[in-house]
Amino acid sequence: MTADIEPLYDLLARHIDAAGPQMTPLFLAKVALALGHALNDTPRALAIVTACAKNLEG
Amino acid sequence: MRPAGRGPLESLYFTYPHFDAPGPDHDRTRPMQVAIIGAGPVGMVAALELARHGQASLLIDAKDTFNDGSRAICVARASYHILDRLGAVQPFLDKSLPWTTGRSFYRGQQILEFEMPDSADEKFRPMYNLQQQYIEAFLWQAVAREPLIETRWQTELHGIEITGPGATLTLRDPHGDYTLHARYVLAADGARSAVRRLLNLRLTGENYEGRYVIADVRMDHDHPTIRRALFDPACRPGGTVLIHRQPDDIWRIDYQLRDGEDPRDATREDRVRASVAGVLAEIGHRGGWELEWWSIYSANTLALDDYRHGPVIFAGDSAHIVPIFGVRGLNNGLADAQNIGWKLALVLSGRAGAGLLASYTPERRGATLDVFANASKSARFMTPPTPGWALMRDAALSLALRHDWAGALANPRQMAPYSYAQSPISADGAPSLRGPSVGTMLPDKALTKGFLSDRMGPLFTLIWFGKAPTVAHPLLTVIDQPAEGPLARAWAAPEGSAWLIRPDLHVAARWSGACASDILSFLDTILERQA
Ligand SMILES: Cc1cc2nc3c(=O)[nH]c(=O)nc-3n(C[C@H](O)[C@H](O)[C@H](O)COP(=O)(O)OP(=O)(O)OC[C@H]3O[C@@H](n4cnc5c(N)ncnc54)[C@H](O)[C@@H]3O)c2cc1C
Repeated sequence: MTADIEPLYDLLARHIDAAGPQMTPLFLAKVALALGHALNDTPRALAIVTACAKNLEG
Repeated sequence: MRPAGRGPLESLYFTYPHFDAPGPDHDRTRPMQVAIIGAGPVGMVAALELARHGQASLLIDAKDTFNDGSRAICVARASYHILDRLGAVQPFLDKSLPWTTGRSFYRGQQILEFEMPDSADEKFRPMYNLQQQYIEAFLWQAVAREPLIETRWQTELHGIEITGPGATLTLRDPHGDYTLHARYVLAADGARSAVRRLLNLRLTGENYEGRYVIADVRMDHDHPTIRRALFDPACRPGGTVLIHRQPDDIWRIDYQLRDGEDPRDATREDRVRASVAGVLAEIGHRGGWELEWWSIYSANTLALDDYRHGPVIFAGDSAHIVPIFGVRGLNNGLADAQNIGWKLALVLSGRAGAGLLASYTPERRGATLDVFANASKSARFMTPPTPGWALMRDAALSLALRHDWAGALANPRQMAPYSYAQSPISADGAPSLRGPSVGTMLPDKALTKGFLSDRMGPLFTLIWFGKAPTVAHPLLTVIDQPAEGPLARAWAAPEGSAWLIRPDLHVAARWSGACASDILSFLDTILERQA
C-alpha cells in the first residue's frame, strides 16, 4: 500500500517557493534529516539517500 | 601573547616562580635509570608515578619556570583519579571549578543543554576548569617534596644517541655541556619535541583548515561554570565561539577565524580586543574586562606511529597533537604518563619482564586514534570543511531549535576514557558478566566509607564477590565484597566472580567462578612477558 504522496509533493513545492532559491537547500536538508529521524530505520534511510543521488544530471 | 607593555610572564593573576639551574659543583654525569625530558604536566606526572612505585628519575627542563599562558584548562575526571593516586589531588580540588553542564546556542537561541554523566557514586566530577599554570604549580609541589625525583631546570637536551641498552644524552645548562647515560628516556618535551627531531621521527596525520583564537580575559561576570558554545552568533556570523569560566575571574573566549581572515592580523591586540568585545556584548556582559593572554591554534590530528623507539618512549604532546576543543591534549598526556610510569617502574625493579612495555603503544596510541575519530566529527561540526558539511550542520542546528534529537548532533563527544579491551595485556575470562568490561576504567562507587577507588591497592587489585580464597602475589591487593552487597548489585556480580584492576584503574581481566590459580597464572602471563 503506497502512501498518498501527492500532499507531500504539493507542500514541498509551496515551501520551496516560499523559502526562495537561497534557503531551499537548507529547507530540503532539514526535511531530509527530519524524515530520516521519523523513519527510524537508518539502513533504509541511507538506501533512500543513495537512490536519490542517482539521475541528477539535467 | 600578552598586551603591549606586559612581559611574556606578566600575568594578571599568577606569579611565575624562577628556578635556578643546578650549581656548578652538582654531580651531573652520574648515569640514570630514567631521564625524563620536559617538566611540563606530562613529565611531572610520569616522574611522580615512577616514584610512587619506588623508581627514581631525573627530570630536566630547558626553562626556568612553568609554561606561559593558561593553555589547557579542562581537566577530566579520569585525570583527577590519576592525581588522586599520586596523592596530589587536594590543591586541584581546592582551586579548580567543577562542571557538568554544557549549553549550545544557535543564532542566540539555546538549542541544547547537555549534562555529563555524574552521580553520588563518583568521587570526582566529570570536568574541572583550572589554568595550566596552576596544574603545573600543584604538580611541582608534589615533585619538589619527592626525594626520588631529581629536577634540573635550565637544562636543555641537545643530543641523543642510542647506545647499547639505553641512550646517551647531551645536556646543556648555564655551566656548559655534558653527557649522561640513561637506561630509559621519556620524551615529554612537548609538541616541538627535540627528542623526536633528533631521532628523525615524524608525526603523521591531518591538519584541519579552521583557525581559532583563544583569549583569556579577567572580568567580574556572573555566570555558573557551564561551557557555552555559540554557533553562528551575531558577533561572528558563520563562526563558532566557546566560553569557559576559570578560577580567579578569568574567562576563556575561543573563537574561530573567518575564511580568508589573516592569522597575523587576527592576532593583533586591537583585533583581539574588538573580537572579544563583540563576544562579551553578545553574552550580555556590560562591565569592564582586562585582556590577560591570547594565542592562535589550528586543529590537527597528528601522532607518532610508534610511541617507543628502543629505550626512548614518547608521552604527551611529543607523541600526539589533538584538536583543543576535544579537551584531550592534556588529559590524554597525563594518562600516557601514568601508563608508562607504572610499567617502567615494574620493569626496572625486576618485578615484570621488559615485554610489559610493548603494551604501551597499542594502549595509548589507541586512545589517541579514538580521540582523532571523535575530533574529526567535532571539527566537521565546528568548522565544516565543505559546503555539504556546512549545509547539513546548519540544517541540524536549525532543527535543534525545536527538536531535541537534532541537538544531540551538536553534543561534543569528548568524555569517556578509552577502553583497553584490545590490549595485549587484557583478557576477558567471562564475557557474559554484566559488570565493568575488560579494558574500561573502573566505575567508581560510593561505599559505606569512602569510594571504591580509595580501596584499590598500589598496583593490582582483585575485587572478589563473596569470600575470597587466598591469592598471594606480591603485586596484588585482594578485597572482598559481599555477594549481596551494593557493589554486587550495581555490577550484577554473582558470587565467586572477580575483577582484576590495574594500577591505572582499568579492568585487566574478569572471571566468574575463578580460582586462585587462574588469577595467578594471568598475572604471570602479563608480568613475565619478555621483550
Ligand atoms: C598556546 C597553547 C594553547 C593550548 N591550549 C590548550 C587548551 O585550551 N586545551 C588543551 O587541552 N590543551 C591545550 N594546549 C595543549 C596542552 O597545553 C598540552 O597538551 C600540554 O601542555 C601537554 O603537556 P606536555 O607535558 O606533553 O608538553 P608541554 O607542556 O609542552 O611541556 C614540554 C616541556 O618540555 C620542555 N622542553 C622542550 N624541549 C626541551 C629540551 N630540548 N630540553 C629540555 N626541555 C625541553 C619545555 O620547556 C616544556 O616545559 C595548548 C597548548 C599551547 C601551546
